[in-house]
Amino acid sequence: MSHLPKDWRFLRSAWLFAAILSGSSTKATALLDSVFGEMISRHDVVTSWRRRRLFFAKLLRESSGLPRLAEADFTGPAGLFPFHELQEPGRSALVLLYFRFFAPEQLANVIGRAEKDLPGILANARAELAQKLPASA
Amino acid sequence: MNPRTARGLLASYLDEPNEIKSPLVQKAMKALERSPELQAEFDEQTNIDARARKILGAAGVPFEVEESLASKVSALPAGRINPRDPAILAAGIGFLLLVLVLTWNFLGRPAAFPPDAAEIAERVIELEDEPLDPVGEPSGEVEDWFLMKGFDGFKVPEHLAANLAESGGILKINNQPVAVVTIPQRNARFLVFPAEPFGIDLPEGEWRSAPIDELYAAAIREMDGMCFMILRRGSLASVQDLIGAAPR
Repeated sequence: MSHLPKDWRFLRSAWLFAAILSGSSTKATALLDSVFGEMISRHDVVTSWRRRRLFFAKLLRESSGLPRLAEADFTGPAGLFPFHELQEPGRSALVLLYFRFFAPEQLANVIGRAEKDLPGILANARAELAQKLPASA
Repeated sequence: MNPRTARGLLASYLDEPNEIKSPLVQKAMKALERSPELQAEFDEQTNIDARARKILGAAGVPFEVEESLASKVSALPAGRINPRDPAILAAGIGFLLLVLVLTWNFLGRPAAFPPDAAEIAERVIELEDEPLDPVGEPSGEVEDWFLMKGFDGFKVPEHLAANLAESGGILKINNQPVAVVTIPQRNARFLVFPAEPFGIDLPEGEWRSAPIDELYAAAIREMDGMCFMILRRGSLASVQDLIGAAPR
């Protein structure tokens, strides 16, 4: 059983986020290792909130060039392929909203958009996701 | 609030049946009732979110990944020290400064105000215009008022209990409830919230105070797992006056 301390339990969701962005479990682990290594070398991140915000923002930035994978090549957790297919920034905005780590203005900051644009971004992402989710969900 | 504004606000809202809806969300949901079309849109949003969250919630992190992460975290912060590393040199200078500051603390400077509490104070200041409900009772007598709204444990230090709470409500900060009442005659707000979700851990009953920005100062203490904070528009001395007579 994992013994992640309370301040670091967000790493589980961070891995899922990385798997959704990359489409690959292996790549997700590599992304997490890279960002984790960078985070622990910083001395200016004091509160656990800031650490979480920065972590997810960096994951998003480091995965920005990764291609979308076809379903046959997707090796992330079962069921998450519909999320992987979504277009950015809606994909990140919606997944981060579902993780419930950030208030709307912080979420907008993580994805690098203005808060006033968030409702439209989320609406588009939901509409896209609704077409991809299995009917039985 | 018009239905379109309400719809925009609720785009970032996730429906949780057992959670307290903030006054703003309640207001938005009421406004939506005036537009069947936007209400239907919001109902569809709730449906999509429920389906999506069920799938996301069922997704697991591989055991070996969890073990690897736990191992990395448990290895913090011990590490090899290279004295020629500029970062280590800076840390060394910082350590010396720390020794000086701790000495100063020992000589009587007030102990540190938790950074997470300062963030809560900043958020409450940002939410200053959020409408609250009328209360009109001494702040020491509104525990039941909050209980009926779903917030348990709103307790005010005895020496502050007589201050009249004009309005009150429950704000959502980082998805956690923060109960607040306004105390106009003191130009202040009293806040109560659980300590653990915000990572706050203070010695029982001990006050900490600090300026928050150029206009506000705050004081906080923790009792039985609940934080009580005074957020006052004024100087640090003005907020320390309010806590001055409290038993330590």
